[in-house]
Amino acid sequence: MFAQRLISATRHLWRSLAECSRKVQDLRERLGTVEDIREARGISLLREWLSPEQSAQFDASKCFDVVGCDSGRRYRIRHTTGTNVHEIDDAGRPVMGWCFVPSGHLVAGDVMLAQKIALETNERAALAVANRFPVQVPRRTYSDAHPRRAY
Amino acid sequence: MGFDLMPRSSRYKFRFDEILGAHSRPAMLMMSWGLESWRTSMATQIVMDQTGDTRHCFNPDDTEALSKAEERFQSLTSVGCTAAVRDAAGKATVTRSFDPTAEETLFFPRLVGG
Repeated sequence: MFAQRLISATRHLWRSLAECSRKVQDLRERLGTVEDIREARGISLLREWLSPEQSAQFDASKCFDVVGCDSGRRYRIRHTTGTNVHEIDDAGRPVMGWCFVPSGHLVAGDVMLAQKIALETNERAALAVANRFPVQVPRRTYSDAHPRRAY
Repeated sequence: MGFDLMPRSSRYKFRFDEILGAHSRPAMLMMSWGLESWRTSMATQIVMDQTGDTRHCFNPDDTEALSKAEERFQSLTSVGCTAAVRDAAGKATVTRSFDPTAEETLFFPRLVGG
């Protein structure tokens, strides 16, 4: 009698747990979809404002270059929401990182668009609020600098 | 008998009833012209937010809608938002005052150091 009740209670518990787990999974999927829609809207808006060259570069490498309106320096904006603006030299190598973002929790596309407009229209003001960070450039090893001779 | 709305080269043809088609074709053309003129006459204010963006469309020929758009511009810029417009070549420009002729104005929040 007791054993039967125990089995029944256990079954009930498992069923409830399975139901809960299914609901959590549904909710997670729904939230994921909402997040995807937000991201897609941000990217769509960004594409509307990119120049054809920037758009092509973004398609190819998920980043695009902008030219600062005050200094004429080039910056590369990468597809994330922070520490994604790198000042680059003529060869396209990063020389310095600049961190500035629009306040609030915006999606990556919106952040990148705000950074692009800021650098292209008011570079000084954008860099005035930005924090600088060093960029890790791949180091040249001794063997790169002095390739071994074939004897 | 019916007529093809699409060119003959098109694989998918939209067939209309002769009588219905005769009446509906001019109506459809008028609707499409109306849509085109609506598209060209509407201006948009795009506000970046947590949902991606929110778009406020308004008719610049409508005085009431225009004053509402100007109010929105003032309230957003007063809290630190930057307003940007694009010229015909697609170049972005920051604007400090409401431009009633701007087709599209983008607002993004104040920039802060990350």
